[in-house]
Amino acid sequence: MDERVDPEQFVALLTANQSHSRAYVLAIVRDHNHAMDIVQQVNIVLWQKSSELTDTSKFLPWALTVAKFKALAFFRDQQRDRLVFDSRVTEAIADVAVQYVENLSARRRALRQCLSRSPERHRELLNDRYVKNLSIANMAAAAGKTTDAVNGLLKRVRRALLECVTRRIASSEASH
Amino acid sequence: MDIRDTPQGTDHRFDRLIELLERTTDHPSSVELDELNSILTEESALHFAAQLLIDESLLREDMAVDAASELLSEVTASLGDAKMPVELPIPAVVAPSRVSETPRRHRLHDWGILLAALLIGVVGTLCYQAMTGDHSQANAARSPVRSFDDERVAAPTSRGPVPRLVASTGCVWNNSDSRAPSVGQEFEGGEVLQLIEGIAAVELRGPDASRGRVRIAGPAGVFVRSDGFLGLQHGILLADTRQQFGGFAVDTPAGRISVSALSSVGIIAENGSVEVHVFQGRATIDSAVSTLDGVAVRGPTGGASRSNGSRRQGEMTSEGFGVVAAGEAAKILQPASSEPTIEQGIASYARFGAMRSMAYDQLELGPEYANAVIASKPVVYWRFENDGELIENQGSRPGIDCRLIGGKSWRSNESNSSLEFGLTEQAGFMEGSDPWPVVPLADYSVELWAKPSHFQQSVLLCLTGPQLDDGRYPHSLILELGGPYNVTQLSPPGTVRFLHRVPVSGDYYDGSSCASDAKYTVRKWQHIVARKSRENLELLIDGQLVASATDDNHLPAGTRIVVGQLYPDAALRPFVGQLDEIALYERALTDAEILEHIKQARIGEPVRDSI
Repeated sequence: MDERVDPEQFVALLTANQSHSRAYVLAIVRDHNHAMDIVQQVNIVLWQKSSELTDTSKFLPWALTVAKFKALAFFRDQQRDRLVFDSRVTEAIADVAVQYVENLSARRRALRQCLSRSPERHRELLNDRYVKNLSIANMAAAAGKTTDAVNGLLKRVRRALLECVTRRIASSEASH
Repeated sequence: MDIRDTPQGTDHRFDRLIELLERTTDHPSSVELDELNSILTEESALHFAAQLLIDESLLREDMAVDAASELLSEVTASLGDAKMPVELPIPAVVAPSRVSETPRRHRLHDWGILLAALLIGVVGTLCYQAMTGDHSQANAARSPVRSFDDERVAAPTSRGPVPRLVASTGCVWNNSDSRAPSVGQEFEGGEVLQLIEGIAAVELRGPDASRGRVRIAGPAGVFVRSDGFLGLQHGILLADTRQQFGGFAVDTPAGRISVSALSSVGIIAENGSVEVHVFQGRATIDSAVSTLDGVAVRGPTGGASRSNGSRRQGEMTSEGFGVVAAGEAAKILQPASSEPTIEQGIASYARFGAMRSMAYDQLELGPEYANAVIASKPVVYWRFENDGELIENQGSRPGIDCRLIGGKSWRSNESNSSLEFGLTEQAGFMEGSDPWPVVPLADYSVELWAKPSHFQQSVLLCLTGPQLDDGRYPHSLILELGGPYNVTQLSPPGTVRFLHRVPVSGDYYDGSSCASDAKYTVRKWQHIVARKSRENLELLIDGQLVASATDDNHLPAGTRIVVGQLYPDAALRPFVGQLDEIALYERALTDAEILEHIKQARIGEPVRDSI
């Protein structure tokens, strides 16, 4: 394919790959709000350079490359006390995360299946933490528990979820 | 490498890694950050962390489905609380506002709007997948499918209608095929439409040219059945069969709602309940008919009575079991663990506020209003009473006129004109011709009237500094609306937010802000004031204090006034709706002044036939 991608097709690609960009940037910078800001910048760059895209199958690698550079530029421009990862870890995690983001659809399916089988109280815990953005201290206060207890439960839930997702992806790959 | 490759002995370290990653969002110490980075020197730990963080991103998105559902409850509840005349006469004509003049096909080419949409859509991504195939299958299994030759519903045709998008107002989509529908596009059976925000109108055209129309208000999920009719997974839908359509049915999580010919019926599906409001004609709740044995039926007074199959028709509604007549409403509650319950009530237009015509609410501002504002000595005052491209400043500062850029429309009544944005093909906004403020301000006020078209992530007014190297603009002030989803922690969904940020910056965490406790009202004029008095930041809506914060920094001089979007050169967070009477003051307005301004404005009588 050597023709320019038409605007509507580009919009579709951009929309379809938002989750990928966001997950990737979040993995690099860790902070949810910073990730939102960076993804917005990534979208602007992608759109400004949309005329350069001639092969739609290359969109995701291209978007992730732009996202990586934007995230690293963010790292460079920020004050150190606002960053979670150091420079070495930031670059390393950017390299490692690509393989998981490229397989995001399968991961999402697996995660949803695992979540549907999780106890209700575990889903509520995840909802409080990642949708309501509650701090561990607030969650503990609301539940009448200690922060250690909430931390412990959250660790177990996240780990169990990750193990479940990994199993399901492996099982899915083996059946193909 | 993945978690299965983890050596047994590293379990504890990976548990610690989870804990440290969680700590990073709750003010971690430098010691904890050092420990985290130290653990991540190992490749296995890096893989583990990358997967955890990617899963966290997916969790945030997936669970936004529930958040959207909760918001919908709050939004419909707040609309229900609004002072709306439930005895409004039954509208005879659909008033689609200007939606037909807004072909999405063209608007999609506006990259600014697209990016704003994407910003909003990011959090809602994947909502459709959570509710697509499985959900529709569940509906099919739960709903007793009645044939269309039911006497209450005229048979549409043997082939069924073809649904087609005919209008789109501020729509942000997230569809199963990842493409935003364009106006004129036909939908096929099995398609799932996820409307994150905005209002979409879908026409159902039968082979015999008969037509029906459905309007959907985001956030909503709708699927197209194999016979061409629609199913509502969640959200608000208004079905209209008053224009030569024999009648049709809408599948809902509580079963099938059959809409008779010549009817106007609103349906709300949220949190395990389905409400049916009949404004004209009638509707039939098919699942209720088939499962009524033992169902508790509540009367309009709130007293509940048990229903059983031996009861005669007429005991549930005025017309009979499962039949909802004009002026009536029924709410079907289907808790997972107990039997369904039906509550009876009165049809409420207020529950369908987003479906109102933009003309529903009229703002009448005569010379008394202008005199009251001028008496408060604004330095900038833009009235929008003349329809040129430059609005002259009627405030006391020389210059600082208002330039109108891009698409906009003028809306006028006998005593007032206002500007409408976002309902034209091209995005539009306004900017000041000169910088403001000219000196740093300890106190100031921003006053305006706004009528949002729908729940949207948009900027009413902001002050921007010089463009940054990365293309963004920093801000010293933002007065904005929250969309239907929780995009950021700082901008709660459906609320008005006032940000005061000194020094001028583009960083989320800089500055001080406050957001209203309650949701703003769509398609209704609201008087909004953001004021700073010494260290007190306050936000007032219709004269009521709705939020406050503290910040004693002076508003810096030399910024650019931008109205209707976030940046002066890109339609990020574009406002969709109407704006009027923008006034800026270099002091804090008093409560008495604000109330006097509101007193001098009149909200006109509601326009009839507004839904």
